[in-house]
Amino acid sequence: MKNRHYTTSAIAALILLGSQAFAAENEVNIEEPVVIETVADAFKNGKVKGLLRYGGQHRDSNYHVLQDAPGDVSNEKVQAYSAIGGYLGYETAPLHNFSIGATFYTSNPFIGSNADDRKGLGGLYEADGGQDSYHVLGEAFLKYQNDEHRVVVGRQEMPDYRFISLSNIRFTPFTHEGATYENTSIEGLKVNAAYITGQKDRNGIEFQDMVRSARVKTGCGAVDTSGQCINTGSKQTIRGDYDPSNFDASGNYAGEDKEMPMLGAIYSQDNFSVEAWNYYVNDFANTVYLYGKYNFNPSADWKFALAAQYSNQQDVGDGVGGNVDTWFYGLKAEAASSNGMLFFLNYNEVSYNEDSYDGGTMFVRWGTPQMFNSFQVQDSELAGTKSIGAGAQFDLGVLGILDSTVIRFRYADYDLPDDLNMIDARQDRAEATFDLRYSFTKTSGFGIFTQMDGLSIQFRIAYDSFENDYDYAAYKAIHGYDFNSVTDDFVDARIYIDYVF
Amino acid sequence: MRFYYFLPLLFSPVLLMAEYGITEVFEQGAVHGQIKLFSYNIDKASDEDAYANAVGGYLKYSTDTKQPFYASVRFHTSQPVGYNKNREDTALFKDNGDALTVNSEAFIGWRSTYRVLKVGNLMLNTPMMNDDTTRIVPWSYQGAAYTGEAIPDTKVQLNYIRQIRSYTSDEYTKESASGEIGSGITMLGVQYDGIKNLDLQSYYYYAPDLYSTFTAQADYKIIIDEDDMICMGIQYFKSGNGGKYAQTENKNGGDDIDLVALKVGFDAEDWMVSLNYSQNFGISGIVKGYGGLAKVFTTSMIANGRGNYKPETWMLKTEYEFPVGTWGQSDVALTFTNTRVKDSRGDDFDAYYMHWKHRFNVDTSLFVRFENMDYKGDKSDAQYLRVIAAYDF
Repeated sequence: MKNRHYTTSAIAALILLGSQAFAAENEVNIEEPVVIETVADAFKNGKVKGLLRYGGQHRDSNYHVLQDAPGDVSNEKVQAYSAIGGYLGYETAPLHNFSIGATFYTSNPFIGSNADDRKGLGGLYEADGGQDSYHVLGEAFLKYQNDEHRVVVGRQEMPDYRFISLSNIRFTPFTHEGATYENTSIEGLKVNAAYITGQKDRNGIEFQDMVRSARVKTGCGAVDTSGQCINTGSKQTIRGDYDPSNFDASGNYAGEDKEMPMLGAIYSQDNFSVEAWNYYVNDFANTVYLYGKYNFNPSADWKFALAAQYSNQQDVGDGVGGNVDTWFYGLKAEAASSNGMLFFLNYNEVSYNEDSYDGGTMFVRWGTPQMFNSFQVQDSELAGTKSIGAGAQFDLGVLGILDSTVIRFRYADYDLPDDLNMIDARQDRAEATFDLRYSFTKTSGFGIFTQMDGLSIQFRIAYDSFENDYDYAAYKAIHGYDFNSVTDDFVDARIYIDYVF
Repeated sequence: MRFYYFLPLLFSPVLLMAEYGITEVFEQGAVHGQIKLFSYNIDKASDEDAYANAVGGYLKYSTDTKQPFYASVRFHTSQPVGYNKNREDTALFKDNGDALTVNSEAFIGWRSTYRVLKVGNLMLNTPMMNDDTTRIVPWSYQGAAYTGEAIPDTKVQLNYIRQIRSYTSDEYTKESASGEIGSGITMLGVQYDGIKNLDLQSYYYYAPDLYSTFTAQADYKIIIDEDDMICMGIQYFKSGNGGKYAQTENKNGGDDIDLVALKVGFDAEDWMVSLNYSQNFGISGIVKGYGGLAKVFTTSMIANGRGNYKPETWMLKTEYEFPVGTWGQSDVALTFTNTRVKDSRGDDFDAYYMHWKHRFNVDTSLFVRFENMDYKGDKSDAQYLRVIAAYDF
């Protein structure tokens, strides 16, 4: 009853907030240019940015218990968090093109069940074994920017660097530490270069090097001096030669910090764009990513686009993660109507190579996975995945059905290697998603993830179905693995209520 | 009842202003910040030396505080930079020496002509429970604070604190500087300045699971002329009602504080001198009280008369303010401390302190502080040097 009361209060407050948000929409705000001549001027005329967010996520990941499992194996697994927080940031006005900025991010348990045994989604701080508040200085930078050059040194958000990005799908985003340089001196060409020394996980309070951030693990916990698993009942993800002293008793990377120099170029013309990116993590892996998109408009009412992507990942230097030799590619077709409808069809395939880390699974945890079929839970990055996905998005405001509302439906089928003899076999699966975004400040013209000032609500739900018609006993016997349950169908639901100022 | 339940209301009261759009509430808000560079060196005649450099400060945002309902949020951070040794001993960071980022304020406020009520994470300024801004990250408190000034010349404060965050932690817990607080701390404070040249204040802290404390202070001024005056003050701190978490011999506070402090000084236009005295007749100390630094007259940078085991302290303080120049204004200070304890378990010491503080302008300052502690017993002598540069915006 108490919880209901608090929830009602919060909802009432947010509705009021929304109704008030319309008030100033049509006011004209004419700002006179301010001359910045001193440090004091720069601070006085800086800009504040803030987000007040309520975010909750619930994932009911029931297990499929194997027939030969002991009787006490649970088939229930519920993960959930409910949090309130956001960010508060400030950047000075540019003085001789230089500015400095800082942003604090915070997430705090709120209502709902944030029990310790429901952790794992990453909306709250989990490193101490529970689900607690966290506060972190996620941005602290010095910036130089003119019409053609932009240099940022320090902690910063890097939203537009493809494999490096915010992945803002929990409570606070990834931010990165290092130096970035962007050049736009040639028309149509944007060059991005960066030297990244660390990454803050979404719910982390420390910046970790780029190997830890890639979540490199042995897969089987502790390994002996020859690099073999001590617990032979689990799959070893690392393949080939590697230095086992770089891994701790839990099987996590514990070696020297490794940085990531990277370079990217985006060339855009009226009807096409091409991108080439290279991410080199010292003594770990090099990732090449290529992307191209061609747009054509067969009629005034419809716009079409075709896109392709390709990536290749190879171990480099000392190869602290063992052998890495994998790739993926993707194809995409898209059609957008002038009255707010968008349809798309995607295909992705990832290499299957048992001599590569985890059979060829791509390392993608430095940002949002780039695969076209990276949906709500499934990312299509696992070894050997062949996925086909389709979806439709409707701007109900433009369609004249319901102002301020955008909805999206998606479905993807993920066909994974599942032959019993395969070391890295996994269950086939499918995901269906529904997204809704409602804005209190815009009537149309925005997407599910568009950054908008004012109040908005985003609701997302996914249903994941897992194939379980496998001979698990035979698979365990062939490979010597020891497990009692596997993933079963689940529902993943998320809600964000954001006020951005 | 968990405090988190109130958090969604953090910004909602401003919405109750029917004639006022939410956009304006935020646009009329104000941001304040501070950037601070802090270098701290502790020299001891042993391996306990410590030094560290930190960069940090705070960022604070408040919605339009002219409205009856408003909200405020503040983050503090202290990040280690450069060389350091035993940096956890400098209390600039977390207890383990890691960088520290905290939410020091997040409250909703209600304001009328003579009353202010704040609920949430608060920074306080009371004798036994305050923020202590001598590092970068202060102490802060979770609860409710009411201030009423409806009675002429009188300010009444009523606080209820259920959790406390130490200046070396990012978590609000039921742990005060003196021990666990259990069901919390309720404080009633009254300040009265209705008598010419006389200021009176008294506080009572009720902490049934720890210890309760009564404080009283009177300050009197004899104004000689436009620039000169004589100041006198008296303080009294008395604790008791020890609860299940009370530790009588705790140097930060226990159920046997019995401290009297006196002060007499001369204040001129650009110079002041004062002689301060305190005697703690109790076994309990009062160094940090419930949180922060207890506000006793005999307080220098490190040296103080607030310790446990019945210290008697004499402190001579003087400060001189240089004329305003092209580069701003400086002041220098010198303090001598003499402490002798009336219990053999305590430490006798003499100390001298000096500082130079320069304000380049109202926003920018450089503060150099040094104190030498000369212990008369077995305890290792120590020198403390702090260099603090701060910029406010």
